[in-house]
Amino acid sequence: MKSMDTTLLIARYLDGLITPPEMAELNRRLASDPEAARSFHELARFDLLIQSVHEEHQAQELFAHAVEESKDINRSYTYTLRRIQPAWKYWLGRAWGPAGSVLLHAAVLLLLINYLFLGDPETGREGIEVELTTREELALDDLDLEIEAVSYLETEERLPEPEPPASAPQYVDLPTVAPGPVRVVSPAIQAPSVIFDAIYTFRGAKQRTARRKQWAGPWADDIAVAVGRSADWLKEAQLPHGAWPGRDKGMTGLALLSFLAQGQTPASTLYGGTVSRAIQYLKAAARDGYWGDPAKRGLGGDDHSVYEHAIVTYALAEALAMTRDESLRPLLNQAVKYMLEGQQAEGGWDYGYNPDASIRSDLSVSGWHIQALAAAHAAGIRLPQMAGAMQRAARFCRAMQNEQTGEFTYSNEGGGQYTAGMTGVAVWGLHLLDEGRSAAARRGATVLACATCDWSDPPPGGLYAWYYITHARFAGRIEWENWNRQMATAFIAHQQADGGWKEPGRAIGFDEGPVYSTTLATLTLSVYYRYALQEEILAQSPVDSGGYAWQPSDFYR
Amino acid sequence: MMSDARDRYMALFLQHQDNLKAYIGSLVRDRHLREDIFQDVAVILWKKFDEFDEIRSFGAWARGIASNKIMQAFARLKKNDVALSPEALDAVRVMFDQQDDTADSWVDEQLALEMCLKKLPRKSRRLIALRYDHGLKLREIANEVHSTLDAVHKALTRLRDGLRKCVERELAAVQA
Repeated sequence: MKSMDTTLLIARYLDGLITPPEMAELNRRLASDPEAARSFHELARFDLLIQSVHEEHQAQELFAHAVEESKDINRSYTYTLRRIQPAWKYWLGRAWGPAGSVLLHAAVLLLLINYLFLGDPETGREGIEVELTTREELALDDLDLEIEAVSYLETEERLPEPEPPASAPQYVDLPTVAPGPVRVVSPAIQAPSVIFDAIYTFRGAKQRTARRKQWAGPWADDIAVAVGRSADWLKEAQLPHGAWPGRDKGMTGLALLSFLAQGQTPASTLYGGTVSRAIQYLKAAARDGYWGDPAKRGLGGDDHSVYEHAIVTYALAEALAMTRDESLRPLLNQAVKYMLEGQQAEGGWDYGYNPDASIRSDLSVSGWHIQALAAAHAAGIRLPQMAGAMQRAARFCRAMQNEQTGEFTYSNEGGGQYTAGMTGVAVWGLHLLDEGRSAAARRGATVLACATCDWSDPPPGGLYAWYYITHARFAGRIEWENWNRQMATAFIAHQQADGGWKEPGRAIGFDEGPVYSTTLATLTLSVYYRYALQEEILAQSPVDSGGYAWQPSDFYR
Repeated sequence: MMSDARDRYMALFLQHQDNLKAYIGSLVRDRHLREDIFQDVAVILWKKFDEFDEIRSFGAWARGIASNKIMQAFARLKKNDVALSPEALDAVRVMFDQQDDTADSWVDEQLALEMCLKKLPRKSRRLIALRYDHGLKLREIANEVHSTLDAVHKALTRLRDGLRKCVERELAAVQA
């Protein structure tokens, strides 16, 4: 052994093959011979250099990997397509009948009145027009105080109007104040230049409770407790510099989204510091408004860092809309610009912003970009071509569907990988892009209606898939009662003693760490109040809204 | 005041965190242990930040604290587990301090390395990917490619050697 070359000993250490006697010899040489230490430094540093250029693939396969892995698992995810229940079987109708529907409408009316008139007196006083592009009562308080009276954040002054967008022809321009019916608009159809935080209006404490009560069934209280525990878990897991461990930018983005979903902002008593530090960290971590790897932007390949860019943009856009921290706006303008530049002509996105869809397009990457764009739009970010980009994104989603089965595929490579999770991505994306009623979304709904939430038999993507399936099924109320029962019982039962979650089963094939699984689970359990989408409010609204009244049963025609 | 210190801390940490990760990673080969130590160090650095003398290098200071943590972790390992001795660790840290990388100093080398990786034949690239992309242990790689532990180790050693020379050539060519 004495004769063994030092570099060989070091290589054996780095490859994890060194034996105890060899280790003793290496230790001796390192301590006594500076040349040996120099070699060690050189080889170890180079090893890390290789590691660093591969890091992207390794850990950033946040989502894609799981889908790929599923091919190796000897199990195919085929869905038995069955006829969807007719409209009358839809939960509302089934549970309450026509009389119930009236009751529900009355309840919703009360809710709406409450929500309109206790809000901004400026608009409420008019008594007719409710211009939801103004700030409604967002109760930004603490989770634990939910039952108690709420102190509302004071209504802030309306922002000066940013410049009108260069092109947004398909947008309906709403007058700021005008008598008329209740108008609620989705992020995609909205008067430009106003922060549209109404889509976050259910995140206030009262609303969270009310919405859970309405849609979570008997699990409402348990879910409130579970989400509170996970918030504490996340608060504990934050590092002093504001990031969460793992893929730090992506994880911090997901954690921030989880707190914002509960209406928690820097002003909150319990989690204010946590949220504030997360925002500060993400601001500091931006490189010219980009959170991916700038050296790889536009080069395609295996650069998964575009996921992180989209997730961070998503989180900070929500933060801007909910806090009106205008220092975020220039950063977000730049961030969205990169997203628009990175979009393929066909409307999708790919790793490393590969511009050529004939090489590859990726629905999973696109899903985070769509959520980010919708959030940016709600925050009043307006760039030329942004509206067109959102339309193209919707077209891209539709193109990823197998119209026969209704399933959507992860990418356009090879034969495609059609899964329930990817169907959730597309249908939820279509809802955000105001195509939740399209034929494609309806076909997707037939697939989603068959999805299951079984911890011992998770779909490819695990919690990632359930996050999207839950959002899509809630947005479309696709056999919601059924899904809610499965999802709520499984998620509550599998929360860890410490308040976090772990990925289910072995089907996942990757472990992105507890921050990833805990944030996805928290966001999933927040579905009841995370978004107030147009169609949902329209469906509930007793007031006719511009000719079209959305019906849940539309899905089944 | 408090937030002032935090801002400075955050800026310094951001600048040095890649290299700190690299330092810990080169000494601690176990992925989970490595991540745990990094998290511990990040917490300690902030707790002790008021003791940090800003004339010194943040990187060197952080590595000092990381070394202590690593030694503690190694001390907890079972007797038969292989670990660097405190003296060896110290000698290596001195070398890292001499170089004192920050985030920016890696970029040229990373770009050069990417060029070199592209020149590798498919099979070699796969081997590198299994090790560094998928983070497999050598035994797992041997299984995967139906080969022996020793052969995989030798092949990887040769590949790393070749890549290192290639990077040097690329960097020299850029400078010339």
